[in-house]
Amino acid sequence: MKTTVQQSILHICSHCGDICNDNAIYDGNVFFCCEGCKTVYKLLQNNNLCGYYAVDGSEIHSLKKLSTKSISRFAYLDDSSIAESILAFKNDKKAQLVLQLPSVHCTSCVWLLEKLPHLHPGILRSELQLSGKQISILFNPEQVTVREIVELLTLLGYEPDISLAAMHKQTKDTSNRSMYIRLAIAGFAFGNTMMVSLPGYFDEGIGDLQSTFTIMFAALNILFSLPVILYSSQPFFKNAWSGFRNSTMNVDIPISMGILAIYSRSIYEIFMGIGPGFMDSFSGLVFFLLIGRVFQKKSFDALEFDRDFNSYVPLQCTKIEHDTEKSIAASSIIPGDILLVRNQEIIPSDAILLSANGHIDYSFITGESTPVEILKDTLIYAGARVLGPSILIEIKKEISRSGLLRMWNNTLFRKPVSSTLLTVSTLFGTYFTFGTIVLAIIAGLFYLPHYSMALSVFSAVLIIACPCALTLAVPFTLGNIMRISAKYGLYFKNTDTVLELASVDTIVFDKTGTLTSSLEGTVEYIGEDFSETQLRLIISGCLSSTHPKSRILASWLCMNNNIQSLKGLHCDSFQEFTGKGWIAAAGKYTIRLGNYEFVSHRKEHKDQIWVSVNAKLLGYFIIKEGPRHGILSMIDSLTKALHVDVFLISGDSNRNAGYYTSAFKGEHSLLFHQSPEDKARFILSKQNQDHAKVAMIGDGINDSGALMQSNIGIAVAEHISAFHPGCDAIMSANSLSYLDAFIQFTKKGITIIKAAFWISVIYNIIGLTLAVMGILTPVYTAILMPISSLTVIGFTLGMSSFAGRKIALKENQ
Amino acid sequence: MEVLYLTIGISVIIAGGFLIAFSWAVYNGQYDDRVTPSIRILFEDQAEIKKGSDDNQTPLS
Repeated sequence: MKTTVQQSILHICSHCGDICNDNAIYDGNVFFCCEGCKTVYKLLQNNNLCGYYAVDGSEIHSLKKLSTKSISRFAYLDDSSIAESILAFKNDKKAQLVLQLPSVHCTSCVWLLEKLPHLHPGILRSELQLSGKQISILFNPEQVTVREIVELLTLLGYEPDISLAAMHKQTKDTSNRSMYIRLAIAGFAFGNTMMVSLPGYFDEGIGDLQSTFTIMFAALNILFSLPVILYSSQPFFKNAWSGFRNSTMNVDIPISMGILAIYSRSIYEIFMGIGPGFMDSFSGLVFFLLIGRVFQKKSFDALEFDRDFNSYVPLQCTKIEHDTEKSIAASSIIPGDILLVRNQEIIPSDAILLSANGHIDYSFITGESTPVEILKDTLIYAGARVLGPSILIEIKKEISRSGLLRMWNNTLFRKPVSSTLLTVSTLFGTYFTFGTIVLAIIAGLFYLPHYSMALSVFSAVLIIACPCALTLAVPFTLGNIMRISAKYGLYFKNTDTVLELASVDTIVFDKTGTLTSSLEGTVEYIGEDFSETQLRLIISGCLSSTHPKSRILASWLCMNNNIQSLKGLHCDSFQEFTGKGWIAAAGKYTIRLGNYEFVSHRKEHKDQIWVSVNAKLLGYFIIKEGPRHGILSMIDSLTKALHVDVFLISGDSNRNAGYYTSAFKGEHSLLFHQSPEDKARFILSKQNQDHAKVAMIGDGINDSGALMQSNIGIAVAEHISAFHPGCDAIMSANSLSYLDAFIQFTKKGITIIKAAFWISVIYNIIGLTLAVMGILTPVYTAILMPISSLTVIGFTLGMSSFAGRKIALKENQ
Repeated sequence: MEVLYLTIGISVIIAGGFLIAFSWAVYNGQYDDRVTPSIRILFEDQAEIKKGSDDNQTPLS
């Protein structure tokens, strides 16, 4: 009786029709993908609108059913100073609250959350921003408090993320707005200057009106181009200037030179009456360059890459003072304070336990996946999560001196500022700038002593050599790669990280939570067989339980016994004891499932999960943590096809090492019992000794040092909005098995950029030949520039999309 | 040909009008969120849901 559960059974959400992920909510005989869908379903049901679903016999629940969750922990929001610190705006009649809701994800969520004014009269308006997972609520502070709103959201299944870091995030980024305006002005000028410049190029047809029209067109050209040079092209000048000041060359320096050359020469030609100038090419150039910038500036609103320790420290603590609970801000705790920490809350600072015993989960700090039991007077480190009943602790250190923060401030954990793109673009900028200037001077000298001719050739070279097409190749290729990767679950922080991934030659994996999953494993059952009804009841109990191991059991039991639905089963009662197990009763059966002590009532510790029916011990389950589905073949392909060195580094013990020895080329690539500092040091030594480009793939704060030290740190998250440490890229856990395809994809991206460089070099050779020969007229530039830009854009977009299809093929396999 | 002065003038004014309208829309926050409004517009009013849902039978899995 042994099978490996590789995926939970697929359930279709009864409301939105999405495939439910591992967090499927089972209710009666239907599944939901999220609380929002469930609530909407119930709401429709309550209003007799269920013809839509054609369901019969489901129980009717009200929103209150969900209130079994503990919501008293929001009591600290009654403290007006804390409540006001999270308000976006407030006066007597109106206040606005902006909250992050990590669990928002689908259309139904929008529907429900924008109906908040129907649920509470004090809420005037609510508006959800789906991409940023952010809700903005306008309410009347006289009728409803912040706490009530937060509790209402929690009841609906959307618990807001209230932490110091989430609060800071709310400062809105308006740079995108100004980018759009810059782009719009450049586009406007481009179109209009083209319209008035065109007659000037073919001035034969205008006849005797020529002179007056020429003046008007010249005036209009200057008028249109003014905002382009003064406003739209500012980002390039700013970057070029800062590069110039720090004496580092960047690609914006030749761009700015080109822009200034084309603009000043056009002004000169117009005022000297030589010709119509290049104003249309000028605005077109700025327009295309800005399109490249906007395309590159793809950001994922809902994701946060730069997490710091603020994200780990809770905003509020419950202090015990004279036997009364008092809510205080976490930043104000001092040594000697006595705090009450509830289930799932985080210990804010190093402390000792005052309660008799408690359960602590250190997985985020050390990577050790089994919760530990601690006894009175034990030191608990900051960042640990409490499991089970609330505990009392006495603070020993201020937050600023806690181990968590010390670890964060460790110099080992500071990222050295170096990026390949920076060096590539610096090198490129240097050579290109000097090359252009030298060529321009030589060409100019060649025409001496004809000063005007020499000057015009000099500026023509600067104009045409402006690396417009070249600079478009990088943002469009990398921007497109970012978009395509995001579709398959890999989110890059910015385009630089795409290049980093392409050049990686060593990959270090964390084990717990990265290669292994808390939701998959090999299950074995030893003991007496269950009857059909008992089995159904056990599955139902496992589905109701929130413990990850119960989920594994449920999906294993369903698969192994071929059970598709639990229709007709009614659980009379269900009670869960965190850290121990659960009791479910139905009809004549009472089932207890959990650790040995809980199930058998004997004071003895055993590792397995035991089960009893009507107080009779039947047997036990063993869950062995194995690697995720497809991981081992992915690692195989990394070493064989991509010639990458792979290592496994874990804070955990080597109890399951057997799974990995074959894939990781033997024992020396497997490192166990590693502290967070050891991990960072290992990567540092790889970088220094072997000059390796290291990618670190990890999930917890215990990896954060290694993630920062590595050339590219990829955080793996079960759910993209879930908690993860600071990193360069975020990967959804399901996509980890196509890591090799992603790396191949980024490598192809580099090839595409190189090919695009050659295309633009061909255009540049044509243009430079014309320029050096002194026959570069405005007509030629007006044709050459847009064509070369459009060719490069079309080529890079088309080729990178084509290369991205490989990932889709791999996903379908 | 003098009519060109008029037509060019008008065309520039119209184009400028659109530029101003676009700037207003951007600063008004209409481009801050480009996902949710596309979903929001598809929600029917409360009364219409009742009518539409009865003849829209989706089988459960």
